[in-house]
Amino acid sequence: MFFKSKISPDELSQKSDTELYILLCGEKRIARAAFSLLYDRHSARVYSYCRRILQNPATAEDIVQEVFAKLFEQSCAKAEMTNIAGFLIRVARNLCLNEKEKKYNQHISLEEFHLSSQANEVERSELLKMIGAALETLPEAERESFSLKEFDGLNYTEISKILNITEQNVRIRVFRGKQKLREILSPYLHDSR
Amino acid sequence: MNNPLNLSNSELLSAYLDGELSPQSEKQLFEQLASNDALRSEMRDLLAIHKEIETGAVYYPPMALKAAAMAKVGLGSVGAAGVFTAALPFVQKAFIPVASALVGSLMTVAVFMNLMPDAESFKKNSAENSFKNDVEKGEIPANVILSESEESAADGQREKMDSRPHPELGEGGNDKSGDNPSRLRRVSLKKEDTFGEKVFKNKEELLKTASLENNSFKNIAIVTIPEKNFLKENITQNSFKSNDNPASLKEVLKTIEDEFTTDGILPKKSSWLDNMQFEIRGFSLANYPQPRTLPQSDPIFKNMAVGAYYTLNDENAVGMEFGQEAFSQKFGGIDEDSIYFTYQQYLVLPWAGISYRYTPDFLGFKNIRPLGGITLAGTTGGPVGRAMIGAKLFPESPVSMIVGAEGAVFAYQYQDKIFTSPKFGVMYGVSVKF
Repeated sequence: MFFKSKISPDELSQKSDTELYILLCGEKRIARAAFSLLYDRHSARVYSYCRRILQNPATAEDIVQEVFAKLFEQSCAKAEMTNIAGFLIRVARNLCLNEKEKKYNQHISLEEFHLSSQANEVERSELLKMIGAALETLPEAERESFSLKEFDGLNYTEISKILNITEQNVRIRVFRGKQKLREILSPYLHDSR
Repeated sequence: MNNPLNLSNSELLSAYLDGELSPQSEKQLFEQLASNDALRSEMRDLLAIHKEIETGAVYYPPMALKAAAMAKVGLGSVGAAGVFTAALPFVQKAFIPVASALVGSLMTVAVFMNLMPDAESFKKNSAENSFKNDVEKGEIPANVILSESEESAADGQREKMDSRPHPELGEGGNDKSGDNPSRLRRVSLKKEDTFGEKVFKNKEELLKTASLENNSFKNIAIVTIPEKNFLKENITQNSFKSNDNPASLKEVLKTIEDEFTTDGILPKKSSWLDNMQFEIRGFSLANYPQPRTLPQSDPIFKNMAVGAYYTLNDENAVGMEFGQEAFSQKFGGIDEDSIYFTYQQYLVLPWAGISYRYTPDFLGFKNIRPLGGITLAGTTGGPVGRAMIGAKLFPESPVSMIVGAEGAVFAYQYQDKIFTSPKFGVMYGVSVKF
């Protein structure tokens, strides 16, 4: 016996991430719609994050699937979740690190972690490529905080949870990152004006 | 943020760009910006970097990834009927093991049915041995059983011989007239038996022999393998027995000449539908190169083909096939910046084309026949060639199983170069005829 859902698609789309997360392990039709909405809201961010780290679209796609599967598992395990975006990036980060460890079988340094020169990415703009190259010169702590803030759109609280440092510390790192980046890119920025 | 920590102008600017500045601090920052060229320049720089990252740093995942992610957690594809969708992941997982088990069981049964003596042949062998013993003991003259013509010269012994259960037909198989009937059987029965029966490979041979030995043929009847019940019915309905009557013999021969095919003695097909066979098969083929991405769509009907074939004769058939499956493509080219790049995609393509099937009878097994086939098909991306080799189980029955190996090659063009995507694996399916 199948019952029609009492929640319309419009109502669902207005629900918060956390509300949708709770619905993931409920009635199949609603769970499907909730999953779809959560995927639409966060997949680009997670996928971008994975691609930047791994520089391999196929592996990034595998990890995106894994990440959303973990979210689903958490929902079915009735695990409490208040910050879906942060959870997704945290899981993606761990899986990406594992993947890189598997691939290179060596200690992973964040030197090669964020935004390398983006080889073969001819579609990226010149300035974006320079930002990527400039980021490589930053200390890894500042680079990762800056990337999570600027590229992945996470707030300071979310980043602090992911990196397991204080929010104030994150603010300082991001600020320093911005300043250094500006310093490096300044000649280019002024020339292009 | 009210700037309780006496943040520097740069820190205020950074907080402002993060959208975390209080109205009071914003006012303070704008006052500074109005009078500070360096701070204005810094703001322009940071805004440029922020804007560039915001607009250019997003990669969008492929469309198919969503369906794959949903399928991974058992939420399946959207839009199909509820029960079917819910059952689909299970069906997909169970299909290959169940199909393999079914095909394996049927193959085992078929092999045993071919190799093990069945009840009828056991009875025949027993009767044959008993009969041979009688001959060896001298109870029955050997010349009685050699041939039909010699049989006719040994009338005195016939009654004794015919009083035995017929070795093939048992108690009910003897003609009530007491004569030993000559028997005509299907082409698939290769051996000749030794009880005065002649086995003919085809109609022509029968008719030729009948005309040459017309005088020696006392009786003729059509007897066939047990499952061909329709022929037995024909015997009753059309009186395909001469019953020692020369007129009747002629009638039977004429009936055979008119109503049976040349290859064997199966009745001629009456309509085109009788010559049709339909097939549905699934295949599990590995792609070369191995796909690194997921298929770009996930239709329910995939890795399957359906076909309709016109049977030209017992061994050959031609027809049309339709199918759908994913092909892993890897191709390279020169982009507008003269850089060579490679691209991979995993497209699900429907295909349709013409097909040929060959089921030779040279093994002589009635329940298994070799199977070969080729298909030339087209897709929206390029031509597809397919070939299969395997076995057909129970080829005579209305529903038969097919199993074997199958390969396919999809050819496509990119920037004046031809690329191919080969696949190879196993196939299994069902063939139906009317």
